[in-house]
Amino acid sequence: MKKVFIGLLALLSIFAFANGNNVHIPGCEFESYTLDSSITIYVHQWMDLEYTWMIDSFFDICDYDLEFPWDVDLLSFTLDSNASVTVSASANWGGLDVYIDGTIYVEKDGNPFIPTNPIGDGSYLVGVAVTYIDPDTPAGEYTVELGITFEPTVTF
Amino acid sequence: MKIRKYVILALISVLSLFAFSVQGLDLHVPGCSWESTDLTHEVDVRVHQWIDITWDATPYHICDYGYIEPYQEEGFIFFSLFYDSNATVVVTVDFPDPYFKDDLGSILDGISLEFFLKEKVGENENSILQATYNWGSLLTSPGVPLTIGNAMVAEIIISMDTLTVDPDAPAGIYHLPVLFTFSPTVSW
Repeated sequence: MKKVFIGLLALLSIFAFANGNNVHIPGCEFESYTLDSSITIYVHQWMDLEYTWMIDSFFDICDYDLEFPWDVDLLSFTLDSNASVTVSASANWGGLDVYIDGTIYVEKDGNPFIPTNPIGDGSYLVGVAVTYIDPDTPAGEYTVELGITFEPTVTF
Repeated sequence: MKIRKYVILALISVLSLFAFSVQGLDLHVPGCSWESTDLTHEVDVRVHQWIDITWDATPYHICDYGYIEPYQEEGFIFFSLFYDSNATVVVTVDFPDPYFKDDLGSILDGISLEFFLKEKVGENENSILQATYNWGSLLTSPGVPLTIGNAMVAEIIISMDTLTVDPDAPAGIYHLPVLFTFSPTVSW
């Protein structure tokens, strides 16, 4: 019965701690009391990004008979963050992917880079190496939507 | 014989791409509130119209005077042309100098020739134009220059219908110039 009471008291004192850091030490048994705590700082993740979309407005495909692979740079960015960053890319090729084959390439600091995730600081270049254009690709205008998402790896 | 004019154009456009290189944009994302940052971009890709053309011109040899009707045996094909494009093409045909002439400019006037210009789109063959070259003058129906129907892929042939040769037709090599103009329907 006594133990239960002490247990309850201990529980209450924990809640008291969480709330207002309050301790009462009665006399007689009080020889010394050590308060062991810490000061915590959360350093959040931030990011500086300098980026350039390499194709300003429109992009011309003038012939199917080209020298392949045809490297088309899409995006360059310089990442500077205080932790690694998770990157995901998306592309809607507007129907062109039916007629045109290509592979995505990435360079980091001027060297070929096999994409890993997350990525660290550096200068990156992302492009598509076109390997084939169907001669029957209907002439016309296609809207290609490119997207890239940067997410912190350190969150609280 | 293939036309690949646009290779140089393509090269120039690639070069201009690099010249385009716009200024970089700076983005600073502070901590605490950073959940996710999206960069999005839209690019208009313009697939230009291209065309492949092959053609073949075969001379006809008149070996004797008289009346010949090669049309009864599928006709004799003077000229055939095949084009393949990624959009419809406007084709016009013209006979800019409506005479059979030799290299010295002498007009061939001792024959009467009827020929057709036909267009084959898929399985459909249409007679587009009938022509009569009669003793030195060319008459076409309809008149030229004539716009031929729109197609992405088509074959055009000029075939002989009938030929009448006068015993006095002067021996020699004679040419009738024919001019085809191909215009894109998709352009910027």
